[in-house]
Amino acid sequence: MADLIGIDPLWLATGILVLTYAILITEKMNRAILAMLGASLMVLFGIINQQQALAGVDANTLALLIGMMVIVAITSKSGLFQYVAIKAAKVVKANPTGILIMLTLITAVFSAMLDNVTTVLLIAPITLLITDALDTPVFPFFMAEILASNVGGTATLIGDPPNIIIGSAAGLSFNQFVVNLAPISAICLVVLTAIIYFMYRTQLSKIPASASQRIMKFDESGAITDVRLMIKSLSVLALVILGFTLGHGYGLQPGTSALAGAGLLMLLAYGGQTAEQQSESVHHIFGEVEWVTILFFAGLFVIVAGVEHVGLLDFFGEKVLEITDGDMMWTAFLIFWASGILSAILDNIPFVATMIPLIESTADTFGGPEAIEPLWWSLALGACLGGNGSLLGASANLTVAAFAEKAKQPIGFLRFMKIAFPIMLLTLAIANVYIWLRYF
Amino acid sequence: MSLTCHDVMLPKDRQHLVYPENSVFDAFHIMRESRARFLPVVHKDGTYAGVFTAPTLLRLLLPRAATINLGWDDRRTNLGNLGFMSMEKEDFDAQIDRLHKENITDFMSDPSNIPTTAPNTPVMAGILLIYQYKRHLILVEPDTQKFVGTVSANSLLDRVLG
Repeated sequence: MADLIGIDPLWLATGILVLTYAILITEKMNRAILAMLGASLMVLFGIINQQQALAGVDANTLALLIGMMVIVAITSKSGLFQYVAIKAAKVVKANPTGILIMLTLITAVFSAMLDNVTTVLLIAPITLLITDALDTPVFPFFMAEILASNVGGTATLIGDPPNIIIGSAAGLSFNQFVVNLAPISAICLVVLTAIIYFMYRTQLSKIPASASQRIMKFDESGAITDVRLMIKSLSVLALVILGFTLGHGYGLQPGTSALAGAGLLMLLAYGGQTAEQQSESVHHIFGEVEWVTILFFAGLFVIVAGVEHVGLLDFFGEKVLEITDGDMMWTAFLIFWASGILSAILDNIPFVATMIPLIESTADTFGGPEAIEPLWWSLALGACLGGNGSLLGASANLTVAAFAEKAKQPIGFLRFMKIAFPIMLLTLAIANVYIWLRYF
Repeated sequence: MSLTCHDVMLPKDRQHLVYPENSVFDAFHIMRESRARFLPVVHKDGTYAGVFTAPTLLRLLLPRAATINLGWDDRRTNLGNLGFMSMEKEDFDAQIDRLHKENITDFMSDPSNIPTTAPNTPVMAGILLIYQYKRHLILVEPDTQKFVGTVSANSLLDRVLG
């Protein structure tokens, strides 16, 4: 088809990619529709054939996302997350500053194990409930939770979608992510928590002790709706994480562990029901899977396969090497800062998906796939930490902002950015030093 | 002659109304006294402003965090079981006290959830609207937007069977 209309496939594929990204930025079209149309055009114009398109779709990433979404959807029904948040608030005797610190840490830990949007959707309502009980604005808490979700999500393979895509494409294991990214994530979290503490401790210390008593009256055990489901969910989650940590050595990809876990948990949760009830329960749970995200990923993979096929990303890979003079350290720094700054203002998922073939194309120059590992960590760190730069930087940021708006306590784009952007730059600077010390 | 909604309505002078200037607390008081679950809100000149309903009363008694709707994500943005909250009468009193300051116009039902139509609408069209929306039907003069009355299952039974 590209030949028929007389346009060079390189230009046509580039046009489809640029057009898709341009419309994506305007947010005028649902991103699943957009990615599916872009992917279809790649095939319809003959830039890649159907087989190549399907081969471009990273099934492991999609399986991992779907499996974890099902597990989290079932687990969240047990009341576990509310229980942990209330318990944490009571552990610090409902001291407002203590609660702020605890919720920041909990958000980071949950984000490392779940995707960030799910984490904030679970933590934001209970946070609002607590701040209403304390009669204090929710802003410092939501601010801290947004920042912590992005920092916490950096730590693991499953914490943030860019990590899932990078891990799957580069064949990096769950353990490799923990070993390489968890330490810097923990350092950034400590810095972040300290900043939040010093920023808000005076404001929060003015809250009367009587307000804290309202929190102390909460009975966290009442939050658990189904103890048996909670035990089953936690057991399956533990098995899945075991699969992530041990599976790589046996050729078991994370997507397989996640889907197997989802199947097992559905069996444990709904196996005792009649066939009709099971169908209803499974339909309900599948309804909670974010199909828009899944189809967006699938379409995006095909679009990237198209531009990769025509050699566009090899071309940019060569340009990157020209700029950095083929120096590994400067290439890592360039990828790191470019992904950090761009992720602050753009959706980091398409950016990372596009960067993957580009980084792969540099492998020959640097001595093979294993030699470019620092580039993968630079990309992951930049993309995840960069999400803190503005409200647009990550889906979790926008989700909390939407919730705050509904709660009539809007966060505000500039108000957020004034605090978050400097913090993002600081965490990026710390991460840059980490990359330098650890890999060069 | 075929019946219209006007023929089966409960006219405005036979029901409790509230005004935009009223507080939510005033509406609670009227609901408690009259046992009405549905209060039309009208301006002093008689034009229709909206409705205040009993479910809103329940919503105002719940923590705000439990009632926020984020559209498609709503299923996951909830507090689940609120069994962890222990409430005593004093807590409810304090909550209701706060509503003295709240204006009723901030808590009217979403207009898209309330069926409205002209008084001369055929009765069957009106019944269908009540069935579809599961709410009382508000009758408003199309030209002046003046509130005329409401049609409910009860008003229908009164006029048709009574």
